[in-house]
Parts: sequence; structure tokens; C-alpha cells
Amino acid sequence: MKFAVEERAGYTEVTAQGRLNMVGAPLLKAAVSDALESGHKLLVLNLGETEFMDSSGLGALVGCLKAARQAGGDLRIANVGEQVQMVLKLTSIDRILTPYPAVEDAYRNA
Amino acid sequence: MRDLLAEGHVRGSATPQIVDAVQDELARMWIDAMVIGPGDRLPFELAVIEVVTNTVKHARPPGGEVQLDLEVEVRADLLLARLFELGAWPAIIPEGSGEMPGPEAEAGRGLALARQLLTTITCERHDGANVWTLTLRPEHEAG
Repeated sequence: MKFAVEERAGYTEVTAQGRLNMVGAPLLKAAVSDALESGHKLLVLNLGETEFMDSSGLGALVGCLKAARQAGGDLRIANVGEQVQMVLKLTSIDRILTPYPAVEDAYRNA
Repeated sequence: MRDLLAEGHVRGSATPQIVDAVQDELARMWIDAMVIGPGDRLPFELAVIEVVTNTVKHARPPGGEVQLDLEVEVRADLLLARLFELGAWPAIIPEGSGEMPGPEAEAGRGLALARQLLTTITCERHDGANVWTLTLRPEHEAG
């Protein structure tokens, strides 16, 4: 997996490229943890280039959400593809992590 | 049973890296089985990865290491995967592994998802190996 962290107006975008499986999940947690430690509290995870996510990836997402909130911030997800959407829905995680259509929508009304 | 559209095989140590090897093999196979639409392909692929991940996380050997051997067959009317946990203790499948945990949980969804996605899933003991058999009958039978 590859990650890019870019500061935007009012939030930080984290782009995750690749497969969010047992191999990629710990890397996502590390990337989000690094961003939080660097003072980026309001995060948007851009999943547009995340071609696959399984329950390991989903567990990492939940862990990242908890870590962001514990740090006094938040994590939102955006630009979700068909496969990721399927997993979010099957597990009802879309109730706590609502996908936003585009990255810039995530904190529009914050 | 319809003609074989694609078949795949992956064998190796039950370590996290094998999950990527299985995904590469499935990606290669779908090129020969384009008639299987995403509505069937995505659930099957996810279920296979969940069971492979379960093996990597939980299969334990009496000594040495567990070898994982996966065979996949794709037909227009049946998607089939057989996963052998070679050299593993008999699989212990905890009660409740078929139930989806709440949204706050960070683990424990793998087998629940596989059960939800597949038509059938079984785990049997044969000749010192645990054999998982996964099937999915395509909802919209292809071509």
C-alpha cells in the first residue's frame, strides 16, 4: 500500500492506494497514527484508489476512527469504490463511518 | 456442471504475504472469467480472502509451519475454492464466529462475512489437514 498525506483547507487528506487487507491494514494504522502525532486532527481518508478492503482493513478503519477521536479530532472517509462500499454495508460500519462522495464534502458542514 | 472458465492455485507458508499472492492469482483468473459479474465476483473474492486470512491468523502447527494450499475453480454456475491447511492442528471454530460483531469492534468479522457471502462453507478434517470448501452459486448465471 502507498499513502500520501496532504494538508487542505481545514483538514488533512490521507490517500490510501492499494489493497487494505491483512498486509495493508497495519500500514494504514501507522500512517494515520503518524498524521495524528504530527498534529493533523481532522482527517479525510480518500479511498478512491483503495481497490480492495476486507475485515482486516475494516478493523483498521475503526481503529483509526477511535484514535482520531481520542486525539480530539475526527476521521471521515470519501470517494469510496464499489467493493469498499459493499464491505461497509455488509458490516453496518456505514452507520458510524458514512462515506462522503468527494473528499471536499467531508467537513463542508463542520 | 458447466465448463471450467478459469482455475487457479496458490501454495506457500501461511504468512500474511500469501494473502497478496492469492489476490494476484484471483485477479489473473477473472480475466478468463469476465462473464462472472462484480455482483458475484466481489463477494467470492472477499470470502476467499477472509478464509485465507483466518488460516494465517489462527492455523497452528504441531511443529514447523502450516502450509496453505488453495485451489479455485470458476464455472458459469459455480465458484469453488478449496483451502488446505497442511500440517495444522484441527481447526477450532469458536461458537459465535458466524455472528457479526457490533460496529465498534476492530476484529472478529472474517468468518461471519464469509458465511454471509457464500452459498456454502464447510471445514473438514482429512488426512491430517483442515479442508475448507467454499462455494458461491452466481445469482445471475452467466452466458
